[in-house]
Amino acid sequence: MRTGAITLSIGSHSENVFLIGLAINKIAASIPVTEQAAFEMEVAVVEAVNNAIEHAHHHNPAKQVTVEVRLETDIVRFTIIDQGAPIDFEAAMDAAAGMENAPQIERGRGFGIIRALMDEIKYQRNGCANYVTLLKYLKQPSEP
Amino acid sequence: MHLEEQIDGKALVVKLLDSRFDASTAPMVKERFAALIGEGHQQIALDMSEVEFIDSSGLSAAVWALKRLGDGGELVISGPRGTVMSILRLTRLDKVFRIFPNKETAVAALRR
Repeated sequence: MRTGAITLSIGSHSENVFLIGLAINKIAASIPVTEQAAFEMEVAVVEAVNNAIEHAHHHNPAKQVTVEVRLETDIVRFTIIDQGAPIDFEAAMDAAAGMENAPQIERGRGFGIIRALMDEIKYQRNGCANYVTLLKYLKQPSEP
Repeated sequence: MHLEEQIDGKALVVKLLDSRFDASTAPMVKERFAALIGEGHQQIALDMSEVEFIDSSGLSAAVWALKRLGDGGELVISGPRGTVMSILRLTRLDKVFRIFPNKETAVAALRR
């Protein structure tokens, strides 16, 4: 598998998010994963970008959401960076864990979907920015 | 989002014609549902056969419409592709909505 990194940025407007989604799907399609797995990476990243636009930047198109994609030999890392207020990550994860028990809720599924689709989610606050990193481990060809 | 609406007896079929039902298209769909429910439509089939990508905003719009209909009405989903169906299962919305393989079976179920 080829390795590499790319950084994508959009203004915080929902109309722009599909561009990130399409890029992620195309990138994921280039690595040894199923079409379904590529779709799932696209959904997870789109959810994280939607969260940044809505909750961190309050739809201010002047604020940029950045997505760093790193393809490594056995892992794909997506880091979503925004300049919003710090995230109460623990509370978000607790709420995400409750998604299964309340499927009829109208809103608040984003982190639950990310959590279910990705292998790991990490959060870091650096300076004035939030860094949400989504990890997907790739099975090695020798694995059953 | 472009929509196609078709009345079939008591049922209204709302077909999403764009491939993405997401944060940029969901508000318009929700607005249209509000108008249709306000006009008195109670049995609605949401045809997602053209949708290739759905996110939580699309799901929220559908749940909102279902709740808005209340006990007197119903919103069912027809024709979801494999990717969309996988998200409906993941979020357990396959237990909240009745889901049919195509609009014909959805409309037949709404007529009963």
